[in-house]
Amino acid sequence: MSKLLQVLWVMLGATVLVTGLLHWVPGDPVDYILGEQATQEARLKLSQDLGLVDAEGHPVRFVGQYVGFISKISQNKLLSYRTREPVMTRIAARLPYTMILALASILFALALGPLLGIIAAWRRGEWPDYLGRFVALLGISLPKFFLAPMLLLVFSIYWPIFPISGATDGLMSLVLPAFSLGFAMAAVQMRFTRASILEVASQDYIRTARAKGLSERVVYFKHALRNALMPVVTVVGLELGSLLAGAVVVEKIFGWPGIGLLLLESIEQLDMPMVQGVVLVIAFFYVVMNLFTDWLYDQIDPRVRVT
Amino acid sequence: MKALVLTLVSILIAVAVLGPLAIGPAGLELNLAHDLQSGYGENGFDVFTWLVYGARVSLMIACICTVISLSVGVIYGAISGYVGGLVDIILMRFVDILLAFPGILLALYIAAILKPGILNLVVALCATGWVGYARVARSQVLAVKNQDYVTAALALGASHARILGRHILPNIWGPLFVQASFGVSSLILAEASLSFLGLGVPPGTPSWGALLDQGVTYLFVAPHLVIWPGVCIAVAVLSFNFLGDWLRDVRDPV
Repeated sequence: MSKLLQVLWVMLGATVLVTGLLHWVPGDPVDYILGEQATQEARLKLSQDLGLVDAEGHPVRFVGQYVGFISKISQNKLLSYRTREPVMTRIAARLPYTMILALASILFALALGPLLGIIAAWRRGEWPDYLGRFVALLGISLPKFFLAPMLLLVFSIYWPIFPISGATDGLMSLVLPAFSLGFAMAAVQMRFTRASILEVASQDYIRTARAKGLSERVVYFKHALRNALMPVVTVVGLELGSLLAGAVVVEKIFGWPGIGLLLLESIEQLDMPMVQGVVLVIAFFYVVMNLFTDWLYDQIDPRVRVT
Repeated sequence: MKALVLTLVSILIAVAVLGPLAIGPAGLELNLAHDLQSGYGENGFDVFTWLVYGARVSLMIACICTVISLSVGVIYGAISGYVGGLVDIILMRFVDILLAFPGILLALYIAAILKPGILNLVVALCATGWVGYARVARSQVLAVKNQDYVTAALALGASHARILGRHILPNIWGPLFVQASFGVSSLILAEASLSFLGLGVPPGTPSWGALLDQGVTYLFVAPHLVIWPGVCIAVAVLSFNFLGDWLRDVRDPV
């Protein structure tokens, strides 16, 4: 319950921050959007659209602006400054793309990372270990906006296997974006899994299992692995932030029509209501997903609930 | 490890500080004859010169932001941890709000509503960068504030400001410095990301991220515009991460 209260508080704060920053930022957003030579009518119209002044042209205090913003966005009446279309309708149309991309990246990371970690720990100090650790180091240090164009160069231009841009070729167009976005998470998964298996391997209950005469395979896969894979969930929670922020970069490179690309398009068009909408939706998903991973961790590891 | 770390970091700093002085800005001038030729960028600037100047921009922004974030974060976190009680709760609930925005999203939003410029970029990065330091400083202060030497200082009649400044802060710098070197690498990455997205340095400023943005546009004809800035960013990020790892091992050998 207190977790739920915290989420409510954080979302309240996030909406205040997002509207407040636009309000308190030095300089007039109207000047910024229209340029300084705009006519008086255009300025008044935009100020009203942004909720900066009321119908008679009197400035609205921040509290009034905030209440106006919340009531508009909750009734889906917050309109894009460019297309006059409700902001949330547009976001809802683009959101599934980002969700598919994020989900595919997480699944890819979960498929690859723990597997590499298990192999590296199983063959510790031999070449699979060194290879796995090198790949993980690459995954952690290569920025997404470097990895993604490199993949494009190799797999779309040199060997034209995957499409260069867009989301029109079904699964084929998902492969490179999901790989670029998920590779860093896979690398962290690999490191955590490896470290955690090595830690578990030195514990008493593993020695006991060996002493009982169980085969190495049973000890390793049945006793050690089960406990060693706990951190996998933690890593998804930890890396979720950089995944969501990285989605903006990856969507730009691959022309993937999700909300990250929508955010960049709206920033370029100075479509502030749309920008605010997208930022809040991403923050909302992030907070909810964090709550979910916390809950999941509780479910998997009974010790967390006790403490 | 030590030799590798110190070599990498000193090469980076040397290139950033001395590089532009050594080669001069001539290569930044546009020369349409070289447009997108091998070794040249859009409208014909020299990529090598751009990368050297980019090192200066990148490291300068990262270091300035680290110093500001560290100072703000330490003061905020130390006060929160030291005073405790209601003040601590209020200050930390505010931090929770900033943590609702994943990664560079909040910096991106701030950069989007401010006009593009180096100063505004620094503001955007610092506005979100101090939070991590505040959390570490707070937990460190909580760990030491009930130690005997703090009680002793209190008993001697030292003021709270003196206790914080002379007795507590010198004992919590260690983990903060380790975090700061990881902070430099994440700021290099954040600056490059924002510049790549067109929200960082103003157009025409040499920056690794901005060059990568061009590189993606001209991926077919000029892949070197992606490869070299990408290598620079990866090496810089890796170097400061190694520095952090090394500092951590020096402080806390296992």
